[in-house]
Amino acid sequence: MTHQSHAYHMVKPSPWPLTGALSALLMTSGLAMWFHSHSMTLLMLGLLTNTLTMYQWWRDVTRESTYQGHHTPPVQKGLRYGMILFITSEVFFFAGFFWAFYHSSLAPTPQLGGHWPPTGITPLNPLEVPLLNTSVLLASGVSITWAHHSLMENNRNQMIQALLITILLGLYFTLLQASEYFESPFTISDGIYGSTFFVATGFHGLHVIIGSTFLTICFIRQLMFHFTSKHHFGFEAAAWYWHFVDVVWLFLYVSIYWWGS
Amino acid sequence: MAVVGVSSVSRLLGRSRPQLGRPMSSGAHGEEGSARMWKTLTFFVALPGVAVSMLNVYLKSHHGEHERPEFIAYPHLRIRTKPFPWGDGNHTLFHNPHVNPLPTGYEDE
Repeated sequence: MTHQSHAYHMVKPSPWPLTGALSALLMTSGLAMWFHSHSMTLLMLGLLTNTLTMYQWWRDVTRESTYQGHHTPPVQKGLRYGMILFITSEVFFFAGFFWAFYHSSLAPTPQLGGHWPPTGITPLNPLEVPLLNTSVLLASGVSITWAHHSLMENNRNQMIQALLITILLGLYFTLLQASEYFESPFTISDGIYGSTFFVATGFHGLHVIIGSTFLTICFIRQLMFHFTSKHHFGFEAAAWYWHFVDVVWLFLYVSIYWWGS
Repeated sequence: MAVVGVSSVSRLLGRSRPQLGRPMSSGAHGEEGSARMWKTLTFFVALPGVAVSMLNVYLKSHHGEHERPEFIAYPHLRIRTKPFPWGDGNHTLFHNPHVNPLPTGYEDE
Protein backbone atom coordinates (compact mmCIF):
# COMPACT_ATOMS: atom_id res chain seq x y z
CA MET A 1 0.00 0.00 0.00
CA THR A 2 2.96 2.42 0.63
CA HIS A 3 4.54 3.96 -2.41
CA GLN A 4 7.93 4.99 -1.04
CA SER A 5 11.12 3.06 -1.78
CA HIS A 6 12.96 4.28 1.34
CA ALA A 7 12.61 3.71 5.09
CA TYR A 8 12.17 7.33 6.14
CA HIS A 9 9.01 9.00 7.41
CA MET A 10 7.55 11.67 5.14
CA VAL A 11 5.33 13.37 7.73
CA LYS A 12 1.87 14.49 6.57
CA PRO A 13 1.07 18.24 6.77
CA SER A 14 0.15 19.23 10.31
CA PRO A 15 -1.21 22.39 11.98
CA TRP A 16 0.64 21.90 15.24
CA PRO A 17 3.93 23.64 14.39
CA LEU A 18 1.88 26.76 13.57
CA THR A 19 -0.28 26.55 16.71
CA GLY A 20 2.88 25.93 18.72
CA ALA A 21 4.56 29.02 17.33
CA LEU A 22 1.43 31.09 17.94
CA SER A 23 1.20 29.78 21.49
CA ALA A 24 4.83 30.82 22.08
CA LEU A 25 3.97 34.32 20.87
CA LEU A 26 0.91 34.44 23.14
CA MET A 27 2.90 33.23 26.15
CA THR A 28 5.73 35.73 25.72
CA SER A 29 3.53 38.71 24.99
CA GLY A 30 1.16 37.48 27.70
CA LEU A 31 4.00 37.50 30.23
CA ALA A 32 4.84 41.08 29.28
CA MET A 33 1.15 42.06 29.58
CA TRP A 34 0.97 40.46 33.01
CA PHE A 35 4.05 42.26 34.29
CA HIS A 36 3.22 45.67 32.87
CA SER A 37 -0.57 45.82 32.48
CA HIS A 38 -1.69 43.37 35.20
CA SER A 39 -3.81 41.35 32.76
CA MET A 40 -3.45 37.58 32.61
CA THR A 41 -5.70 36.97 29.59
CA LEU A 42 -3.02 36.62 26.88
CA LEU A 43 -0.86 34.51 29.17
CA MET A 44 -3.70 32.12 30.00
CA LEU A 45 -4.60 31.88 26.31
CA GLY A 46 -0.95 31.15 25.53
CA LEU A 47 -0.69 28.43 28.18
CA LEU A 48 -3.92 26.83 26.95
CA THR A 49 -2.90 26.79 23.28
CA ASN A 50 0.55 25.54 24.23
CA THR A 51 -0.88 22.63 26.21
CA LEU A 52 -3.31 21.75 23.42
CA THR A 53 -0.49 21.85 20.86
CA MET A 54 1.74 19.55 22.89
CA TYR A 55 -1.10 17.10 23.56
CA GLN A 56 -2.16 16.89 19.93
CA TRP A 57 1.32 16.90 18.40
CA TRP A 58 2.61 14.10 20.57
CA ARG A 59 -0.69 12.21 20.20
CA ASP A 60 -0.05 12.34 16.45
CA VAL A 61 3.52 11.04 16.88
CA THR A 62 2.11 8.08 18.84
CA ARG A 63 -0.47 7.49 16.11
CA GLU A 64 2.19 7.60 13.38
CA SER A 65 4.49 5.20 15.22
CA THR A 66 2.51 2.71 17.28
CA TYR A 67 -0.57 2.58 15.08
CA GLN A 68 0.79 3.31 11.59
CA GLY A 69 4.29 1.82 11.83
CA HIS A 70 6.24 4.76 10.43
CA HIS A 71 9.05 4.51 13.00
CA THR A 72 11.48 2.21 11.20
CA PRO A 73 15.02 1.76 12.60
CA PRO A 74 16.50 4.73 10.70
CA VAL A 75 13.59 6.90 11.85
CA GLN A 76 14.14 5.80 15.42
CA LYS A 77 17.84 6.57 15.10
CA GLY A 78 16.95 10.11 14.06
CA LEU A 79 14.72 10.43 17.10
CA ARG A 80 17.57 9.24 19.30
CA TYR A 81 19.85 11.91 17.84
CA GLY A 82 17.08 14.44 18.44
CA MET A 83 16.57 13.56 22.08
CA ILE A 84 20.31 13.53 22.74
CA LEU A 85 20.68 16.96 21.15
CA PHE A 86 17.72 18.32 23.10
CA ILE A 87 19.06 17.08 26.42
CA THR A 88 22.46 18.55 25.50
CA SER A 89 20.82 21.92 24.95
CA GLU A 90 19.22 21.62 28.39
CA VAL A 91 22.62 20.88 29.90
CA PHE A 92 23.83 24.20 28.50
CA PHE A 93 20.69 25.90 29.83
CA PHE A 94 21.51 24.79 33.36
CA ALA A 95 25.21 25.51 32.84
CA GLY A 96 24.30 29.19 32.62
CA PHE A 97 22.64 29.17 36.03
CA PHE A 98 25.55 27.31 37.59
CA TRP A 99 27.88 29.86 36.02
CA ALA A 100 25.87 32.65 37.62
CA PHE A 101 25.97 30.90 40.99
CA TYR A 102 29.73 30.35 40.96
CA HIS A 103 30.39 33.84 39.59
CA SER A 104 28.72 35.38 42.62
CA SER A 105 29.67 32.85 45.28
CA LEU A 106 33.37 32.49 44.50
CA ALA A 107 33.97 36.23 44.89
CA PRO A 108 31.31 37.58 47.29
CA THR A 109 31.09 41.38 47.10
CA PRO A 110 31.48 43.76 50.07
CA GLN A 111 27.74 44.49 49.88
CA LEU A 112 27.09 40.86 50.86
CA GLY A 113 29.57 41.03 53.72
CA GLY A 114 32.49 39.65 51.73
CA HIS A 115 31.58 36.01 52.43
CA TRP A 116 29.23 33.30 51.18
CA PRO A 117 26.54 32.67 52.28
CA PRO A 118 25.99 36.43 52.58
CA THR A 119 25.27 38.15 55.89
CA GLY A 120 21.74 37.56 57.07
CA ILE A 121 21.22 34.37 55.08
CA THR A 122 20.68 31.10 56.97
CA PRO A 123 21.12 28.39 54.33
CA LEU A 124 19.16 25.15 54.48
CA ASN A 125 20.91 22.27 56.23
CA PRO A 126 22.14 20.01 53.41
CA LEU A 127 21.89 16.95 55.66
CA GLU A 128 18.13 17.27 56.24
CA VAL A 129 15.46 17.47 53.49
CA PRO A 130 17.99 18.13 50.66
CA LEU A 131 19.68 14.82 51.50
CA LEU A 132 16.30 13.07 51.52
CA ASN A 133 15.60 14.63 48.12
CA THR A 134 18.91 13.25 46.85
CA SER A 135 18.06 9.73 48.04
CA VAL A 136 14.60 9.98 46.46
CA LEU A 137 15.95 10.89 43.02
CA LEU A 138 18.76 8.35 43.17
CA ALA A 139 16.24 5.67 44.14
CA SER A 140 14.02 6.67 41.22
CA GLY A 141 17.02 6.19 38.91
CA VAL A 142 17.35 2.63 40.17
CA SER A 143 13.63 1.88 39.86
CA ILE A 144 13.43 3.25 36.32
CA THR A 145 16.32 0.99 35.34
CA TRP A 146 14.40 -1.92 36.84
CA ALA A 147 11.39 -0.85 34.72
CA HIS A 148 13.50 -0.75 31.57
CA HIS A 149 15.02 -4.18 32.09
CA SER A 150 11.61 -5.63 32.92
CA LEU A 151 10.29 -4.17 29.68
CA MET A 152 13.15 -5.70 27.70
CA GLU A 153 12.55 -9.07 29.36
CA ASN A 154 8.81 -8.92 28.55
CA ASN A 155 7.78 -8.76 32.20
CA ARG A 156 4.68 -6.60 31.95
CA ASN A 157 3.59 -6.49 35.59
CA GLN A 158 7.06 -5.74 36.95
CA MET A 159 7.54 -2.97 34.41
CA ILE A 160 4.26 -1.38 35.51
CA GLN A 161 5.18 -1.74 39.19
CA ALA A 162 8.69 -0.31 38.71
CA LEU A 163 7.50 2.62 36.59
CA LEU A 164 4.80 3.42 39.17
CA ILE A 165 7.41 3.48 41.95
CA THR A 166 9.53 5.82 39.82
CA ILE A 167 6.64 8.22 39.25
CA LEU A 168 5.65 8.18 42.93
CA LEU A 169 9.23 8.99 43.93
CA GLY A 170 9.20 11.89 41.46
CA LEU A 171 5.96 13.19 42.99
CA TYR A 172 7.43 12.81 46.48
CA PHE A 173 10.46 14.91 45.47
CA THR A 174 8.16 17.63 44.12
CA LEU A 175 6.09 17.71 47.31
CA LEU A 176 9.22 17.81 49.50
CA GLN A 177 10.72 20.63 47.48
CA ALA A 178 7.46 22.61 47.52
CA SER A 179 7.40 22.25 51.31
CA GLU A 180 11.02 23.44 51.47
CA TYR A 181 10.11 26.49 49.37
CA PHE A 182 7.36 27.45 51.83
CA GLU A 183 9.51 26.84 54.93
CA SER A 184 12.69 28.50 53.69
CA PRO A 185 13.79 31.50 55.78
CA PHE A 186 15.20 33.20 52.68
CA THR A 187 13.31 34.22 49.54
CA ILE A 188 14.03 34.91 45.89
CA SER A 189 14.26 38.62 46.73
CA ASP A 190 17.12 38.07 49.18
CA GLY A 191 19.87 39.33 46.93
CA ILE A 192 21.98 37.26 44.61
CA TYR A 193 21.84 34.29 47.02
CA GLY A 194 18.06 34.12 46.70
CA SER A 195 18.13 34.70 42.96
CA THR A 196 20.67 31.98 42.18
CA PHE A 197 19.10 29.52 44.62
CA PHE A 198 15.49 29.83 43.48
CA VAL A 199 16.13 30.22 39.75
CA ALA A 200 18.42 27.17 39.61
CA THR A 201 16.33 24.94 41.90
CA GLY A 202 13.12 26.35 40.44
CA PHE A 203 13.98 25.42 36.87
CA HIS A 204 15.15 22.05 38.12
CA GLY A 205 11.80 21.52 39.86
CA LEU A 206 10.00 22.44 36.65
CA HIS A 207 12.05 19.80 34.84
CA VAL A 208 11.15 17.23 37.50
CA ILE A 209 7.47 17.99 36.84
CA ILE A 210 8.01 17.72 33.07
CA GLY A 211 9.92 14.45 33.52
CA SER A 212 7.22 13.04 35.81
CA THR A 213 4.59 13.95 33.21
CA PHE A 214 6.60 12.22 30.47
CA LEU A 215 6.91 9.11 32.67
CA THR A 216 3.18 9.17 33.38
CA ILE A 217 2.44 9.24 29.65
CA CYS A 218 4.74 6.22 29.28
CA PHE A 219 2.87 4.52 32.13
CA ILE A 220 -0.46 5.01 30.35
CA ARG A 221 1.03 3.80 27.06
CA GLN A 222 2.44 0.70 28.75
CA LEU A 223 -1.02 -0.07 30.18
CA MET A 224 -2.33 0.24 26.61
CA PHE A 225 0.24 -2.23 25.27
CA HIS A 226 2.03 0.34 23.10
CA PHE A 227 5.56 -0.85 23.98
CA THR A 228 7.25 -4.07 22.86
CA SER A 229 10.34 -5.58 24.39
CA LYS A 230 12.37 -4.48 21.37
CA HIS A 231 10.71 -1.18 20.43
CA HIS A 232 9.97 1.36 23.14
CA PHE A 233 11.88 4.51 22.28
CA GLY A 234 9.33 6.80 23.96
CA PHE A 235 10.15 5.10 27.25
CA GLU A 236 13.89 5.30 26.61
CA ALA A 237 13.65 9.01 25.87
CA ALA A 238 11.72 9.52 29.12
CA ALA A 239 14.33 7.51 31.01
CA TRP A 240 17.21 9.53 29.54
CA TYR A 241 15.42 12.75 30.49
CA TRP A 242 14.80 11.44 33.99
CA HIS A 243 18.46 10.54 34.50
CA PHE A 244 19.40 14.03 33.25
CA VAL A 245 17.08 15.57 35.85
CA ASP A 246 18.70 13.40 38.53
CA VAL A 247 22.22 14.45 37.48
CA VAL A 248 21.28 18.14 37.50
CA TRP A 249 20.00 17.70 41.07
CA LEU A 250 23.29 16.09 42.11
CA PHE A 251 25.17 19.13 40.77
CA LEU A 252 22.70 21.45 42.52
CA TYR A 253 23.08 19.56 45.77
CA VAL A 254 26.89 19.55 45.74
CA SER A 255 27.27 23.15 44.50
CA ILE A 256 24.47 25.18 46.05
CA TYR A 257 23.27 23.16 49.02
CA TRP A 258 26.54 21.68 50.23
CA TRP A 259 29.51 23.80 49.05
CA GLY A 260 27.35 26.93 49.08
CA SER A 261 26.50 26.60 52.75
CA MET B 1 37.42 9.08 28.04
CA ALA B 2 36.24 10.58 24.72
CA VAL B 3 36.43 7.16 23.05
CA VAL B 4 34.23 5.66 25.76
CA GLY B 5 31.86 8.60 25.30
CA VAL B 6 31.63 8.06 21.55
CA SER B 7 31.06 4.32 21.82
CA SER B 8 28.37 4.73 24.48
CA VAL B 9 26.61 7.33 22.31
CA SER B 10 26.71 4.96 19.35
CA ARG B 11 25.21 2.29 21.59
CA LEU B 12 22.44 4.72 22.48
CA LEU B 13 21.89 5.29 18.77
CA GLY B 14 21.40 1.54 18.32
CA ARG B 15 24.08 1.12 15.64
CA SER B 16 23.81 -2.44 14.34
CA ARG B 17 26.86 -4.61 14.53
CA PRO B 18 27.55 -8.12 13.14
CA GLN B 19 25.83 -10.78 15.27
CA LEU B 20 28.40 -12.30 17.60
CA GLY B 21 27.40 -15.30 19.68
CA ARG B 22 24.32 -13.89 21.43
CA PRO B 23 21.60 -13.36 18.81
CA MET B 24 19.68 -10.22 19.81
CA SER B 25 18.10 -7.76 17.35
CA SER B 26 19.49 -4.24 17.18
CA GLY B 27 16.69 -2.66 19.26
CA ALA B 28 17.25 -4.78 22.39
CA HIS B 29 20.25 -4.34 24.62
CA GLY B 30 19.44 -6.06 27.91
CA GLU B 31 20.77 -9.26 29.40
CA GLU B 32 18.65 -12.10 30.71
CA GLY B 33 17.95 -11.80 34.44
CA SER B 34 19.22 -8.26 34.91
CA ALA B 35 15.72 -7.02 35.74
CA ARG B 36 15.86 -9.17 38.86
CA MET B 37 19.09 -7.45 39.91
CA TRP B 38 17.60 -3.99 39.51
CA LYS B 39 14.46 -5.08 41.35
CA THR B 40 16.65 -6.31 44.22
CA LEU B 41 18.60 -3.05 44.21
CA THR B 42 15.34 -1.09 44.27
CA PHE B 43 13.85 -2.86 47.28
CA PHE B 44 17.00 -3.58 49.30
CA VAL B 45 19.18 -0.50 48.63
CA ALA B 46 17.34 2.38 47.00
CA LEU B 47 14.06 2.40 48.92
CA PRO B 48 15.68 1.61 52.32
CA GLY B 49 18.04 4.52 51.59
CA VAL B 50 14.99 6.75 51.17
CA ALA B 51 13.52 5.37 54.40
CA VAL B 52 16.71 6.07 56.34
CA SER B 53 16.80 9.61 54.96
CA MET B 54 13.18 10.11 55.97
CA LEU B 55 13.99 8.91 59.49
CA ASN B 56 16.94 11.27 59.60
CA VAL B 57 14.75 14.24 58.66
CA TYR B 58 12.12 13.26 61.22
CA LEU B 59 14.68 12.94 64.01
CA LYS B 60 16.21 16.31 63.19
CA SER B 61 12.93 18.10 62.62
CA HIS B 62 12.27 19.37 66.15
CA HIS B 63 15.63 21.06 66.43
CA GLY B 64 15.47 24.85 66.09
CA GLU B 65 11.71 25.03 65.85
CA HIS B 66 11.47 28.12 68.05
CA GLU B 67 14.46 30.03 66.73
CA ARG B 68 13.87 32.83 64.30
CA PRO B 69 16.70 35.17 63.37
CA GLU B 70 16.26 38.72 64.67
CA PHE B 71 15.16 41.12 61.93
CA ILE B 72 17.85 43.49 60.69
CA ALA B 73 16.94 45.64 57.66
CA TYR B 74 19.99 44.77 55.56
CA PRO B 75 19.96 46.68 52.25
CA HIS B 76 21.19 43.64 50.29
CA LEU B 77 18.20 41.49 51.32
CA ARG B 78 14.42 41.77 50.79
CA ILE B 79 15.02 43.65 47.57
CA ARG B 80 12.01 45.38 46.01
CA THR B 81 13.18 46.97 42.76
CA LYS B 82 9.70 46.54 41.29
CA PRO B 83 6.49 45.14 42.81
CA PHE B 84 5.63 41.46 42.25
CA PRO B 85 2.78 41.08 39.73
CA TRP B 86 0.53 39.39 42.31
CA GLY B 87 -1.22 40.34 45.54
CA ASP B 88 0.01 43.60 47.01
CA GLY B 89 3.28 43.25 45.11
CA ASN B 90 5.25 43.01 48.34
CA HIS B 91 5.12 39.25 49.05
CA THR B 92 7.20 36.57 47.33
CA LEU B 93 5.42 33.64 45.71
CA PHE B 94 6.12 31.19 48.57
CA HIS B 95 5.82 33.74 51.36
CA ASN B 96 5.61 32.30 54.86
CA PRO B 97 4.76 35.02 57.41
CA HIS B 98 6.44 33.13 60.23
CA VAL B 99 9.90 32.88 58.66
CA ASN B 100 9.90 35.46 55.85
CA PRO B 101 10.09 39.11 56.98
CA LEU B 102 8.96 41.89 54.66
CA PRO B 103 11.43 44.70 53.98
CA THR B 104 9.90 46.40 57.04
CA GLY B 105 10.10 43.39 59.33
CA TYR B 106 8.17 40.29 60.33
CA GLU B 107 4.44 40.60 59.71
CA ASP B 108 3.36 38.77 62.84
CA GLU B 109 5.36 40.77 65.35
